[in-house]
Amino acid sequence: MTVTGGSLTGKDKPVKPASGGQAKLTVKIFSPFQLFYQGEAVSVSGVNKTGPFDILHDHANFFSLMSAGDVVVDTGFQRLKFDINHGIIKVSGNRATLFVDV
Amino acid sequence: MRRALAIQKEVAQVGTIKDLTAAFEGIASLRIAKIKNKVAASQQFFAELWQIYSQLRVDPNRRLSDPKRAKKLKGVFIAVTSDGGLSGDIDEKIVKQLLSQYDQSATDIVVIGAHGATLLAQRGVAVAKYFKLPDTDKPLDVTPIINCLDEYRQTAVFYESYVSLATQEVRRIDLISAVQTLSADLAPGQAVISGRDYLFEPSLDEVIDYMESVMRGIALSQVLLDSKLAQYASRFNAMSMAETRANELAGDLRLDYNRAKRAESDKRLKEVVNSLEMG
Repeated sequence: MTVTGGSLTGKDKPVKPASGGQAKLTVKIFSPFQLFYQGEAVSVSGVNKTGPFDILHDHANFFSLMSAGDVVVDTGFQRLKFDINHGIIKVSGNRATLFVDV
Repeated sequence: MRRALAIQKEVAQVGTIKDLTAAFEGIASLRIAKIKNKVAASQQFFAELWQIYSQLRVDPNRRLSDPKRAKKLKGVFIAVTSDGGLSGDIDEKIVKQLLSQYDQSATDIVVIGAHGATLLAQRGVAVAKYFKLPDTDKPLDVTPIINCLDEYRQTAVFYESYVSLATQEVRRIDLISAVQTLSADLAPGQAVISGRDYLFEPSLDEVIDYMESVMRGIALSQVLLDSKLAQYASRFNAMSMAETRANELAGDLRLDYNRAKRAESDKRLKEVVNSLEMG
C-alpha cells in the first residue's frame, strides 16, 4: 500500500477539528500488520465493483468489498490517500472501518 | 607437530567464525522480537474482523469446513520450510513427518520455502505447487497461497512451531482449526448485521466468502510467522552452539599454539647448546 498526502496514522497525530465545523465520522483503516489511519474525518472515498463511492456523516449502514484503487480520507484540513489492492468497508453509526489489503 | 605460525592463523580464522556466529545470533534475536510484534498486530486485526463476522450470524463451524467449493477431491499437505540452510535439522523433521502421513492417491503436496522443495525432490516426491517463503520483513501477502489451497477439500499444514527460544517442534494443523483456534477466546459481536439493516455490495454471500478467505489468510500468516519465529530460534540455537564450539576450538588451538611455540623455542635452544658444545 502506498500513502500520499499526509501522515500515515491519525493515532499518533490527532486530527484538528475542521474550521467550518463540518459533521464528521470516525474512521479506522488498517491491515493485519499495520494501522494506517485512525481518527475523525469529513469523508471517506473508495471504489467497489459498482464504482466510486463516498461515505459522509449520517451515511446508511453499508458493507462492501473494495476494489483496487485509492481510498481518500478527507480530514477537513487535508486529504490522505491510500492505494489499496482490496479490502472490506463496514459503515454504521458514523463509524467506518476499513480492513485493507487482506 | 604443526608450526606455531600455522596454528596462529587458524586461531584468527576461528575468531572470525566466532564473531560471525555472534552476529547471526544477534540478528536472529532481533528478528524474533519483530515477528512477535507482528503476530500481536495480526491477532488484533483478526479479533475485529471476527467480531463483525460473528454479527453476520453465520455458522462458522459449518461454513469454514464446507468443502463444497473445492474443485479437487483431494486434500493437500503444506510443508512450511525455510528458504535456505542455517536453520538446523528442522526442515528434515517436517518433511519426515509429512511423508509418514502422506498418501499419494488422496493428497497433494504444496511446499512453502525452497529448502523443503529440495528435500522432497531428493526423495523423489512430486510437489503440486511450490511457493517462495513470503518475506516476513514486508507485509505478508498469502493471497496466491490461499487461492491455491481453496481448491482442496482439506488442508493440513506441517510447520515448525515456536515453543520457546530453546524448544521448537514440528506440528500438524488443519487450517480451519487454526481459524477456529484464533477465534476461540473471542466474544462474538452483540449486534446483528443483516440485509434488512445494511446495504451489501456486491452481496451478503460474497462479503462472507471474502471474509472467510481473509480469516484463512490470517491463520496461514500466523502459521508462517510462527514457523519463521521457530526458524530464527532454531538458527539462534545453532549459532549459539557454533559459537560455543568455536570458543572450545579457539581454546584448544591456543594450547596447541603455546605448545608449538615452546617446542620451537626448545629446539632453537638445543641447537644453540649443541653448537656451543661442539665449538
